[in-house]
Amino acid sequence: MTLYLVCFCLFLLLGIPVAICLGLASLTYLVFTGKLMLLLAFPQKMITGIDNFVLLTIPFFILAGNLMNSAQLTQYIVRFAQVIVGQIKGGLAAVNLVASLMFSGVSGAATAEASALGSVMIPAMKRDGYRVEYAAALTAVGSLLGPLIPPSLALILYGVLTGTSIGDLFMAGIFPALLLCALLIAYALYKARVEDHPLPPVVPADERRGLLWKALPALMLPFIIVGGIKSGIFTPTEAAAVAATYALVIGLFLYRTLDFQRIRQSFYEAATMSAGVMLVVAMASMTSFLMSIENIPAQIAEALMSVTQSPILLLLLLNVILLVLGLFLEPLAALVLAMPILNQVFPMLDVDPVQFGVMVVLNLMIGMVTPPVGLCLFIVSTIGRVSLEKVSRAALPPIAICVFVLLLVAFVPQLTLLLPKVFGGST
Amino acid sequence: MSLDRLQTLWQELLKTLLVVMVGLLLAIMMAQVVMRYGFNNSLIWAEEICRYLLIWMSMLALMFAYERGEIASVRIALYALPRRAGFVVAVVGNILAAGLCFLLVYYGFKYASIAGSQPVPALRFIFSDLFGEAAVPVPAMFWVYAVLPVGMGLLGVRIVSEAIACVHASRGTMSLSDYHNRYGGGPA
Repeated sequence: MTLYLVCFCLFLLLGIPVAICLGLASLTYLVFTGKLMLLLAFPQKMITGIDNFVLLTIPFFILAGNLMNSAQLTQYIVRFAQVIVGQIKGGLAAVNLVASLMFSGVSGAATAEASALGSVMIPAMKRDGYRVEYAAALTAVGSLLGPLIPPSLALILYGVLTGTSIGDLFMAGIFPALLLCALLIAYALYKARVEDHPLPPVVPADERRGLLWKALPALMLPFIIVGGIKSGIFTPTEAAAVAATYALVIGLFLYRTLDFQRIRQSFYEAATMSAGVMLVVAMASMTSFLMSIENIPAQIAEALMSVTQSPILLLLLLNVILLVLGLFLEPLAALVLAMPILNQVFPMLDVDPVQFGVMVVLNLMIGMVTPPVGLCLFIVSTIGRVSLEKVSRAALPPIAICVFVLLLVAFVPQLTLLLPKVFGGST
Repeated sequence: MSLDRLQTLWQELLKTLLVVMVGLLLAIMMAQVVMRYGFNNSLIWAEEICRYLLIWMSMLALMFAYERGEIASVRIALYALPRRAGFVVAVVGNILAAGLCFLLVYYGFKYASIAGSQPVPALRFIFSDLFGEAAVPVPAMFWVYAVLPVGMGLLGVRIVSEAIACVHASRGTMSLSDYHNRYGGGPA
């Protein structure tokens, strides 16, 4: 196992794509342990890893987000957020976060959100005199709301790997996301008073009325998805297909901004973006196969348990380990890799699988906004043309807020479990 | 026809195929929902066909995913190296990655030919509905599994051409990060 990890890190440093690193490390492991006959299991494990009906949700939700995005929904969402926030100091920073929250309902991945909102909000905030690194950092951390609000690719993957209800997971993420958003806005407003940020631009009165109707269909999407799944009308996969069709229909007939070329491009990008995810899942399933024949998950779980027996300390320890893992790995890869181990430790923890899922996902997502492998940070620093170091430093206080919310999710079950419980039943 | 034209044509063709596959996935899934609620009659083969389509789509899109930077990689260490060394390490990385791809082509085909002899169950249903029992031979699972080596092969070739481009660029004056920003797809 040490061999595997060392090889993996080495390959990662060579600039090889993360998914390929997983495969190369598995290969090196097979070569050095003389288990070459297992090479035939490599393609088999890759195929069984992605041969999963629920994974179909991924291209569909990506497609829904792409379609909404190329229908220029982002503009409407940002304008609508301006109307909601109104004239307060540092308003544009708050607009950024409110827009993040609304955009989360159509996008399943943090990276998509960071690039869509970043390209609108970072230049706008820069124009208004905000420091670029602050604007970029806030956008990056705000994009973490994406994986908490349905649809969420990471929560889906957790559901697939553990057999937890995806409808429940989707609902469980909502309160933590709202809390995180509120705390981030509070931070932005505090910052606005200290650094004397300007008032946001006014939205003309005649534009206001139309905006609600433009933004509303997009805001409905998460309710359709969660409502559909929880009431048992759709399976998660069907809900995702319905979401994509819905996006297509309102883009064509309501916004009327979609044309054939844009639709084609959205479809194509949905294919490539999901291929990236699928390769990670495929390669990681070979790795977890190797781990399971070596009985690694049980050994790690035992080692953890030998450190402490207290469920509370164990949960804390687990969070620290996941945070470190998240620093170096892209969240979906980390999720697939960590899951066999987490499954072993889970029975000792005395938490609900739904709550645990939201915790794991939020935890690993924090790695998206920290160096060295923070994809969201890379995106916003490219958009804002500002160094990674500066953004990373500016992102520290909002990251601290994320960690605070993470601890609340870990230790206050009501935060996650209230909504699924109220709407009862499981599907 | 020049080689460049041929390549563009082939890429456009593959892109169109991907678009069609995503469209087909969406259409089958929506048909499934409509059939179940509208006609109370589920399509028994829909789920299975969609799963295989997903495998096909993912594997054939790998090459483009790599091109567009959707397969995340970490380049901080590379950029910290001196210019020349950075390019050398990048090329070494590319060669290793391509090596894995080609290995998977070999074992992928081997696996497909060993495990893929039984007919695709979903297609058996469709074929027997369309043509009657056993009128037309049903494609074997081989055709589902075989897309993995095809996809990995395309990805491998794409990575090799990236390595060659890297070697060319290393002779110029451009820094590795500028090179990646210009040709390396996404920001990752």
